[in-house]
Amino acid sequence: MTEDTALRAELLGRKYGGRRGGWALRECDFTLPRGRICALVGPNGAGKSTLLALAAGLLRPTEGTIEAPARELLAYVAQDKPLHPRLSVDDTLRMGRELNPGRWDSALAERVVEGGGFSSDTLVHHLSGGQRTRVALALALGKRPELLLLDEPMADLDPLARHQLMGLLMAEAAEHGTTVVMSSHILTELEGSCDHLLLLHGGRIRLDGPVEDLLAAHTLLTGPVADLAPHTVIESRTTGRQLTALIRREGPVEGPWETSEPSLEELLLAHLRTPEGAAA
Amino acid sequence: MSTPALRGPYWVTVRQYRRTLWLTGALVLAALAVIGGLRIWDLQTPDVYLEDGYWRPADDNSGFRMLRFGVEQLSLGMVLLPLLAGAFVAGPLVAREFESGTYKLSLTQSVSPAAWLRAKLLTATAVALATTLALMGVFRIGWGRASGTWDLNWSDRGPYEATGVVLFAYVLAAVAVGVLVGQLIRRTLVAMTATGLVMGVVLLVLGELRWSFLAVKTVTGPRDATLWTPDNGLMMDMGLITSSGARFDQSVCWDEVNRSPRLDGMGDGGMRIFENCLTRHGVTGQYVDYHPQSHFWPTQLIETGILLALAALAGYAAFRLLRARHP
Amino acid sequence: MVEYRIDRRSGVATYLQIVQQTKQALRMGLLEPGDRLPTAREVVEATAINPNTVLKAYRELEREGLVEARRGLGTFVRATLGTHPADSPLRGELTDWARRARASGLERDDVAALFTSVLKEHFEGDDDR
Repeated sequence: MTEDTALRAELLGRKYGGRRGGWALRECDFTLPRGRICALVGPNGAGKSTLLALAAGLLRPTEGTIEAPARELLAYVAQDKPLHPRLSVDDTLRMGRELNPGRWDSALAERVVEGGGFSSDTLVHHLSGGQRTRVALALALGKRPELLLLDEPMADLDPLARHQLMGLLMAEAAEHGTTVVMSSHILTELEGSCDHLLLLHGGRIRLDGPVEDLLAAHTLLTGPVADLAPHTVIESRTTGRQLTALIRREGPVEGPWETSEPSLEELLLAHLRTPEGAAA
Repeated sequence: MSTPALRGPYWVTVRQYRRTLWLTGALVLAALAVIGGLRIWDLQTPDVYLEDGYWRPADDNSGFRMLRFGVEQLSLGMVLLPLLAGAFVAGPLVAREFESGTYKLSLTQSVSPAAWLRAKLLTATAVALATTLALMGVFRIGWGRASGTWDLNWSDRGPYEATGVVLFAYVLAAVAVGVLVGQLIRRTLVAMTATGLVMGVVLLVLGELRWSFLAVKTVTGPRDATLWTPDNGLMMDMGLITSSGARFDQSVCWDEVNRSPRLDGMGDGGMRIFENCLTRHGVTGQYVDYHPQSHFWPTQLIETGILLALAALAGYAAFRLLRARHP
Repeated sequence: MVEYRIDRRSGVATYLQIVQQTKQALRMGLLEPGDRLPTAREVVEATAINPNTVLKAYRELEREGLVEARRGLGTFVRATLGTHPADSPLRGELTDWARRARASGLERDDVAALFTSVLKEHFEGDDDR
């Protein structure tokens, strides 16, 4: 892996339950440059968690390869925020220090836990879902990773905590150049925070690249019904004589249409609503 | 529990299971208190003089009866110790990490998966061996007084394990099997049960086989005198021999007795016919096959060797499996 | 020091919101030459936006000569934007004009339209997004 790549997959595939069963992920090719905040989006069952577990080294690929930083330089927060229930919050952070010697930043970890509204000698199994998320994030950030893999990190948080933790996450990324990959199916959670996008659908990658480039490559147009060639139509709707379409441009758009750049949400929804393969 | 010397995954393991450690320590202390107390109670009643310098406990010495009972129960508990240790390692220590998903946390820290598993294995081993040693010490306190009485011989199941080195090997094998099974069966209760079963079978099979490791010794004597097993030996077989030294199958003569038509009328139950039959077949003596007490240590060492090989194999497989699943 | 308020539903690109709010602060005299802009860390911690967005906005401001980045120290204001409208004579004249417009019976919207059209006439071509 080169200096400026944080994560790279080549023809990556993984089957459910080992060798037998269907494909959770198939023929995934992508390169994530360092320092990006990447949104990993897709409907439930698209393969987001599988991809993150593969990147974290918890699963072996069934085929293909995935290159990620070494264990010491990588942190992973699984969707269910696993923590040892019988340890206190203090003990959990001490565990972070014991298991990551030489890297652990206790001041940072304690900052993440602060503001969670619980004392640090609380046992983990007495914490609420949001509080668990906070402790799990503290454990991940305290390790000072180069690559941070977060599976649905904000799902259990109230809007206030979500904003605060996302801010903290962005601040860490700003200061240390941490690459972050976070999965979510709540699009608004990611808009504004992410500058890179990986859209999974049915175990395959549908969109991959910098958000700005992806938005710039697409156009939302409305106008009379007409042939849109040579552009790739992602989604189109006809109401009477009016056509509304999201296209991926091939050259400039010429015609009687009114055009605009789609929002990230419009782009994602259009791609998700389109049957697989139609707009590959 | 203060654990200043522990570092890394060892600290984590001990911290996570500190309640179990406390409980283990408490049980050892309880065993010490019970056996020690019974020993003192037993001392309150003086022994009765038998003959030739032999003394025996007085019939009304309840302390002695309780001590004997305590020693028996303790030895039984110690035989079950490997099952408990193995089940604990397989279930709460390993399988639960997979069942609850905390392995996702444990296996993505800077410390390698192998170091993580090694910490669990070595911590469990150290605690299990220390517990075994402590219980063996407690057992000795009672054994010194109760040994040699009925059902409490050197070769009996319980005392045999509790007084030799073989129990350490059982515990080691159980911990290693537990680490393997815990990974194979990633469900706490099922893994515990499976490990308990595996170790139970190992315990039964080796218990059956252990007296076949070494060749028995044989002693012979005349046909009509009681033949004692020498050297405080464990009797394995006894029977009759002919003048040529061949072993005689006495069912031949019992068949002859049973075929006799007037058996019911005979006052001696056909003993005369039986004796005649033996004489006719030239039976002149009897034999006893036995293991002398001197076989105790060689048998222990062979059994220990087998168990250590099992432990090594299971441990190796456990680490191979971990490597295969988690890069 | 300025504090940025990001409106995710405004339709205006996030980095432009930062650029505009910085310029507004310069115009209002809230920022003066030599003042330090908040660090990217401070901005993203408060707003939860992407750090690269802040850097992009600061680069844009630097390109326009309004701020300069000093390595390891932060980003500092270099220039100010025009006079300070808050206490300039122009403001007084505009206030007079607005009063006269109202007295002559113009509605608020009429005044705004008038003002915008004059602005457009005089500042045509100045790309001041």
